[in-house]
Amino acid sequence: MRAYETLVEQTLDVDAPPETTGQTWYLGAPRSIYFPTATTAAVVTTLALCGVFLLTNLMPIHHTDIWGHLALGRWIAEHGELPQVEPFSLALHGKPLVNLPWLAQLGGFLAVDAFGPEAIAFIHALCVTLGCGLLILAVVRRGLELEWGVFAAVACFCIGYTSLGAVRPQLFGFIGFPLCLLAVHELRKSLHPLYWIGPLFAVWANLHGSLVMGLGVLGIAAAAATFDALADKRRLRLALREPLVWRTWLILFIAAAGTCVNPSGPLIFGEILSFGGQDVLNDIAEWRQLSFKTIGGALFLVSLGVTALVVRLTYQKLSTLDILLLLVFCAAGFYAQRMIIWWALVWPWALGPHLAEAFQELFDPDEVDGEEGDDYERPNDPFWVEAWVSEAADGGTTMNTLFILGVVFMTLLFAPSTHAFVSGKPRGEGLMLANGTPIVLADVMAREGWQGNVFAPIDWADFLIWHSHGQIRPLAYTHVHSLPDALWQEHQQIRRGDSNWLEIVDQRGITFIVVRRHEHHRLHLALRSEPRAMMVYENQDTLLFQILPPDATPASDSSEIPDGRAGHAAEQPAASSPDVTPSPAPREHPETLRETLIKALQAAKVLL
Amino acid sequence: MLPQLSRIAAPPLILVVALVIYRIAFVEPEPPAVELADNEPNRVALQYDWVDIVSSDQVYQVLDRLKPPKNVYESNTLIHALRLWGRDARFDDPAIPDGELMWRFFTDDEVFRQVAGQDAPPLYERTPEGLFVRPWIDNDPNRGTGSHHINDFLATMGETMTPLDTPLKLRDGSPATIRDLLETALANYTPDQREYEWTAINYARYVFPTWSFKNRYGETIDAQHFVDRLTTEPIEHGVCNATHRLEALAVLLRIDDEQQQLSSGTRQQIINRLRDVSLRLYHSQTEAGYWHRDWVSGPKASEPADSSQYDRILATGHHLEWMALAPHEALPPRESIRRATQWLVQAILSEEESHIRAKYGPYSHAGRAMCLFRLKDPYRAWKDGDDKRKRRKEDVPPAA
Repeated sequence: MRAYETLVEQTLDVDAPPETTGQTWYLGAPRSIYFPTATTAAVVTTLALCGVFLLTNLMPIHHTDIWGHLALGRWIAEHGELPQVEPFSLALHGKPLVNLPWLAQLGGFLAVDAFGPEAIAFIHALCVTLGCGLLILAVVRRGLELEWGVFAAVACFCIGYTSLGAVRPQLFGFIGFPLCLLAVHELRKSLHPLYWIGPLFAVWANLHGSLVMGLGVLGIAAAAATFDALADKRRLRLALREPLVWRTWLILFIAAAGTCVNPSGPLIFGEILSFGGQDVLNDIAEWRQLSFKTIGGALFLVSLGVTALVVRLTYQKLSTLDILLLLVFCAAGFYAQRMIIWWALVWPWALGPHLAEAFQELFDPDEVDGEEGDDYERPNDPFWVEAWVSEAADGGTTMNTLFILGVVFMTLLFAPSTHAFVSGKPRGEGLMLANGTPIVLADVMAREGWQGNVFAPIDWADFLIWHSHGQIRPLAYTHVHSLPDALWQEHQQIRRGDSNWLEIVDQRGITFIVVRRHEHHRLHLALRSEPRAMMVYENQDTLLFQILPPDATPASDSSEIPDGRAGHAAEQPAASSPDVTPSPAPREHPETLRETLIKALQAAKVLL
Repeated sequence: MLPQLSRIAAPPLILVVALVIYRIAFVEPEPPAVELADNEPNRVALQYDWVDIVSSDQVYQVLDRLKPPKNVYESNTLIHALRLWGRDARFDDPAIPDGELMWRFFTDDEVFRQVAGQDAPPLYERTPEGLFVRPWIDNDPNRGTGSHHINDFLATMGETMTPLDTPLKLRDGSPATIRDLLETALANYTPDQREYEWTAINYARYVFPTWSFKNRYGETIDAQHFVDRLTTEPIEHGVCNATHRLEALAVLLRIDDEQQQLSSGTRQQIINRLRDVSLRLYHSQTEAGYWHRDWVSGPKASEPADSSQYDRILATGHHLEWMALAPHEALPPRESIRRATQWLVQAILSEEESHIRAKYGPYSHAGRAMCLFRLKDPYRAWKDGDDKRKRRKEDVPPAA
């Protein structure tokens, strides 16, 4: 009764100080010491991250190397060891397999095994959200207001959109990389990154080879700090005594040491460094130079334009670290499409302070004091302490917390993968996987028992391996780096329908050839005119041919080709069709946005 | 300590409780992939009786030439013959399969083996994904008894008004019905299925007016999906010179006349497509009256150099068949139809027996089209004509 009266009184007097009864009114909102309050900053962050989670979760799972990774994870789980040689390709070439992302593969498989394919979609969204969250943290710790952190996350998500659409172990790098950026800045005032950077790289080294990007950030930070110190002290000995210099070199050393905690030990460095130099990568779209005709390329170009504008507008010069990071990762972006994602993380972090200053210069010039930026330090409170407080010091309210809970609740319901878990109704592969994934082909091959040595486009081969439990053995799949060059050339010759395609097929004992109808025109024509090739299945995008052995005689034409079979003639490739040879690789999907929207509409339709 | 613990634990706890409540209160059990309203297939009522198109006597003469080929036991021939003649046909000739035999060929493995040979692999295969029909495959020695087009057997079952609960006698003795075939067809249908004409017809015959169903990949397929595919894909795509897609549209439209489920916009979408085709046919019709493979080109159409009589009969017969089902406003001028039909009558009557026997399918479509335009059941029409002919023969006094 007493508590009730107090409540009523305080309701009338909204400015009354907090009571110790456990329940109070503050600015018109209920407050309790048993329930957390949240700041507006936390609300904004939650909205941004929930948006990222939802949008990522609405992306379909593309037919990239994810299925090959999962198949390797299954192999590891079943055999209890790491494969020493390539286990799925039909050609037993004996080339030793250094399988860096074994932990990601195993974890991914165990998740799928336990929760179904929706787990992959969930992990995908979670990794991207976590990466964006950590980027916000890294930006805010640089001294920027939270809205700039949110801007950084949104910019990163947009620039890296096409790369982020591919579910693959590299996503763990998307989490590790902002942690490296955070560590680089935190080292200026604290030693705590020295404690957690080692374990981070020890885990990262077993998840994906992208750890080299993290090492790159740390190396650039060390080089920048040394350069700055040298410029200041003029003597190396004195420069090395600078706290930031020895700290950055020490953290680089610790990270490198942590990297060695993997099945290959220190040899991992050789593997990673030799990876990019393989000729085979020239045939893979995502390793080719950036095309500005793609969405990712266009956004990359826009970010470069903004950089030039901001550098011109801001008073203070970019720091050595920022310049080096921007230069190195910009060059990496030009070098290969796949590197865009690292640019997407570095760009808002490095340019953020200057962008904020330029923004203020443009819209609120009176407030520019020229002091903010790298030198400005926020209080040492961790970010989450600022966001979640139980005291009313910075205006946190219970209502904000409830709003956040509501937003998270709605996100979980609208995000397809979490909705599937909550409702117990998985979406089904047709809604979860991207258009073009050979789901039906894989089903038909399994049903008919068509397995063995197969030629297939590499981005389909992974799914066929996964679906057939390794019973379909393709000539090549997306793990092309594990193939000898000669084998890859054979794959390309068949794909192009070169004159020796049948010779290679016979040599390799290939019994099935999968043709992508709208790409492999010459091979399609060659198969149509080859008596030993028997078309056993087709759909709008796929043709499956069985290749009879050389000594087999085709069945006598006892029954006529039925009427109508010839009716597809209008859809057959013309003999004069140019042999279009698009990239066989996981490609940047220009239709991703459209597909995502369609999936989103479908998901919304289901929910409604 | 307790307040601190509470502040940490309360938000996730609330979230979990809210999700559990949602699960219990709002999540409904998964409905079946397809809800079938009726056991019987939808009937397409005949609508025209155009005497000027083809006379009853011509219909009889054509049908008499199109009796099921003697001793030809390939599934493609039998399915066309069954489709034309129906289950009740009796021919009093042991070499000509009766309707019942043809029907049982597809529904009773014992009969199938008696006809196709004891070594013939079964027509149906039971798998965890459903009951599948053995497909026609290039160079397969048993292709003659396989299904030439995806789900065409089932479509013929619908056309012969076979109920869904009709049992199928399989070789392995496991119980099965026509419903299993339908559910398999629907569950395995995907938007990238190449031949979907018969799946659309099956949907119209057996599923409509139920609006949608789910395939085994979780995708929702509805009537609008089929209409969109059938009306927006390139007009020249599809088997039999793209004509079965037109038939599927006409069948859906006619069944909707009864069911009234399609929106007026959707109905107009179908009619527009059929009118577009009719316009092209009007322009591409040859002086003789037939159509050929290049009918799609409309006014610019030119008969391919390698065009054969078979091609002409295939195109002309198939087109007349969908026209006989389509609404009046979607048809080309009646004179075009008359000329095409009359050409077809002459072509069939003058065709060699061996040609008809070897390529029975297109001829059967032509015969069926004529019956549809005259409101006639083919077997009844033939039987009446045959009885009349016999009576006439009996009335003729023996020659002196």
